[in-house]
Amino acid sequence: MIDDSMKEIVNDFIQEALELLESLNENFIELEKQPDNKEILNTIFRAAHTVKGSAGFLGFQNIVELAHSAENILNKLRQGEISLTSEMTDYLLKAMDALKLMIITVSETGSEGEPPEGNAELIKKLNALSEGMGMETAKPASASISAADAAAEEEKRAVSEKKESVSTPAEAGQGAEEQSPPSTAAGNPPSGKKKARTLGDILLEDNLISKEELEEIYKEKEEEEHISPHAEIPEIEAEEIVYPSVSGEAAEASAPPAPAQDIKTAAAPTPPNKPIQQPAPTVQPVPVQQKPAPVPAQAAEIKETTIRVDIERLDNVMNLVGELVLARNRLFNISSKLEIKYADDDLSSALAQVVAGLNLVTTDLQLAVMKTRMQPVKKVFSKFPRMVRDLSKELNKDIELLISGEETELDKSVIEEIGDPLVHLIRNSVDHGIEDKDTRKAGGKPERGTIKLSAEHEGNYIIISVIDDGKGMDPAVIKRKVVEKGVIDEKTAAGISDKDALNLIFAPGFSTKDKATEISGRGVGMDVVKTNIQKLNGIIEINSNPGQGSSIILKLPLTVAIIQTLIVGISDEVFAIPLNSVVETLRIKESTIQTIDKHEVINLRKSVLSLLRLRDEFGVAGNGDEDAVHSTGREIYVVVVALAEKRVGIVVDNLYGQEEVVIKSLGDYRLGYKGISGATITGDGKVVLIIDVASMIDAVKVK
Amino acid sequence: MKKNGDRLKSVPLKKDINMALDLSMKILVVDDFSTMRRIIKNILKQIGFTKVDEAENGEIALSKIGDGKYDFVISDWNMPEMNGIELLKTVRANEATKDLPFLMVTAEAKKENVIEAVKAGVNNYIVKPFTAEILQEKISKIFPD
Repeated sequence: MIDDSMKEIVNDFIQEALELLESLNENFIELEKQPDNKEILNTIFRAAHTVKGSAGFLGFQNIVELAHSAENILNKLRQGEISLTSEMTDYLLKAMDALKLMIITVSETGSEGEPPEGNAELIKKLNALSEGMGMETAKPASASISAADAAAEEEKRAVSEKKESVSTPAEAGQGAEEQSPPSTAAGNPPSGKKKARTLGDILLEDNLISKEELEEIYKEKEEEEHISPHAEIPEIEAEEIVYPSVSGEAAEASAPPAPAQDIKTAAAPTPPNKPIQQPAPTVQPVPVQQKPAPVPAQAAEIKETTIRVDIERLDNVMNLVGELVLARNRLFNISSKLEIKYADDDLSSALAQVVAGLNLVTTDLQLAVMKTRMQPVKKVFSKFPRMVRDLSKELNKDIELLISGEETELDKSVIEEIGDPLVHLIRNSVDHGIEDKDTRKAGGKPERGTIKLSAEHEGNYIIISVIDDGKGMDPAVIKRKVVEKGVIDEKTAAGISDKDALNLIFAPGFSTKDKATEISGRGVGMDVVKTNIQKLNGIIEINSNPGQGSSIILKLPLTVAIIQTLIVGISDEVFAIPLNSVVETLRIKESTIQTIDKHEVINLRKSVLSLLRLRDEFGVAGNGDEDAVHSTGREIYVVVVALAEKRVGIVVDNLYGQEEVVIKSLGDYRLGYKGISGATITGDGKVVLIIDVASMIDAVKVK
Repeated sequence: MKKNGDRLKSVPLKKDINMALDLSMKILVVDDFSTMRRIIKNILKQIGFTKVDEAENGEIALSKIGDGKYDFVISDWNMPEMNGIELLKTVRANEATKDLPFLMVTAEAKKENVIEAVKAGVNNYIVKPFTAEILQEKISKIFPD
């Protein structure tokens, strides 16, 4: 049982400590801007402190040691003993990374294991920084730690010694009395009723402090309290101040008044004739501390408001809601048919009303469940300031990262997938986009480059954009590179429009840098972006003005399980296309279709759009007249779908409308064709296949 | 790991000291880090305390204490917003809670800290990390029989 609860605590620690450390990146960036901000220093210090504290309980000694070194510097910083240097920030950040790594090791292996490589050096360096840079070299950091440790040690020893002497409670009382008579003098008779002792009494009893010292402390306290209050209510205060003081408390402890009086006169010589027992009513409203005490009554409402839930449970709930949505769709359909058939029947209209109510509740439920899986995109965004800082330092560029909309929420599964693509996009902007200071100056731009990272909701999508004010992308250069790398031939390249050329950066193996830098340019980055965004059924849009910068916009669906679809038809067959991927629908004349390289294409707003006839793709038998009208002036429907950076037009016979569906996997039934991503049941009870947009786009490429 | 991990495992507790403690005391554990609250609660349970509640910051602690339903408070010193000392001072300034026994959890036992704690009216302090045994000692000291 203990092992179980221990495991749980370790898991808690892993999660909580990682969250805490993750949140520090931001604080460090902020700190570099305002190195004297004590509040930020305090926050960071506290994090190191907290991690150290709980790791100590769990016995993770390496974590404790490293956290201690970091805490040490941070403490000196917040005390103003040393001031922050860029080197310190670097090493503190390294320490936080190392701590994260160690905690991750714990989570993976269950134990701390050996300290990571370079750990000892890191600790040494941190200690050196805190000592070497200190103003008072005479008082090195280790001295103060060991002092603290020594105190703790001493204290432990005191406890254990005490333990030995205190074998039975009765003896304990006696022993205390004998060995430390001052405790009686301090007005705390051991024979008292169930009255709690104060630390002062305990220290006295353990001989850790002399009676004189304690009195000195109480005296100081009284003095502080007399001097410090800002004399707002001078009259009453003089009396009240006595109250919360320890001497007052001691006196109240059913103690004989004499010794207490002793302390009093010794402790507070200035106002000698204070009454020992103060009337309570006047005392209450004035707290000792300067800051007004928060009113407990008001705070009474505050309760802990969050619990942690296993993600599997949420998935399960989501699944059930999916089933409910299907049933709702079906019921809705039947009810509307009944209403038409039995228009005058009370029952059918009553049913319609009930179904309408059910409809509302289901939609709300679905939204509510979706929300439980939502997390703010901040979770991903928060690591970027640090990344940009490190990279721009390495490249000697001056770059500011502006983040907006980090409170925007996204499904957890989406959050997990967008991290990597964003890393690559931002790295690209830092490395290839923003120019170095001199170039920027020469180009009449401010020396400091800007990268804007933002997130916002737009209907059922979230839009994440990375916009920089760097040198932008030159379509001509991109084309030349692609041809050089042999991705496409020269003739094809010449036929590609400038806008389409930008998309070539997603081609595998593409890199415009002749020499791959350490940061990016290995030609895999953009490929990752494409793959991940594709996985999420997202869309990528690139814009660039040479000399002015680039913008990359990611359009991602909010959820994955329950989706809106566009229901289309070919002859009698019905298919669903995920609405997330649909950009627009067109009604065009067959005659506007051109054929290039055996590809059917249309010219859509200066961009070439490849067409795919769903009928041919799925081999749906026509009604017989299709071939005849292929070349006539007949009008057809084109559904423009997009995935990542690619667009394609799907030719269909009919557009039936929009329907919310739950994707059901086809399991082992592959149907011999990969253009289907799943199936669903529509409101009229039909099983409808959902088209896999990615394979449609691939199909066009293959042709 | 082994050596220190034992801190959370059950240790034979001295029953004689145990006897002196009122195990039905209602205890409030205040710490901003939930792992720490859990650790302390766990240790308290090992000692034998059954009524242990928690608060994640000074504000919440005050609102809970305000009901006067706790017999004992164990609070971390270093917390954001309102630290342990501020919490203690506020508790002491309130007539209804001025005698509420208060144990301060701290990472260091520097002299100036101890003095500050004495001045604020703390009943005892304990240095992190600690074992169930040490915590029991510290609590026993506050409540003589």
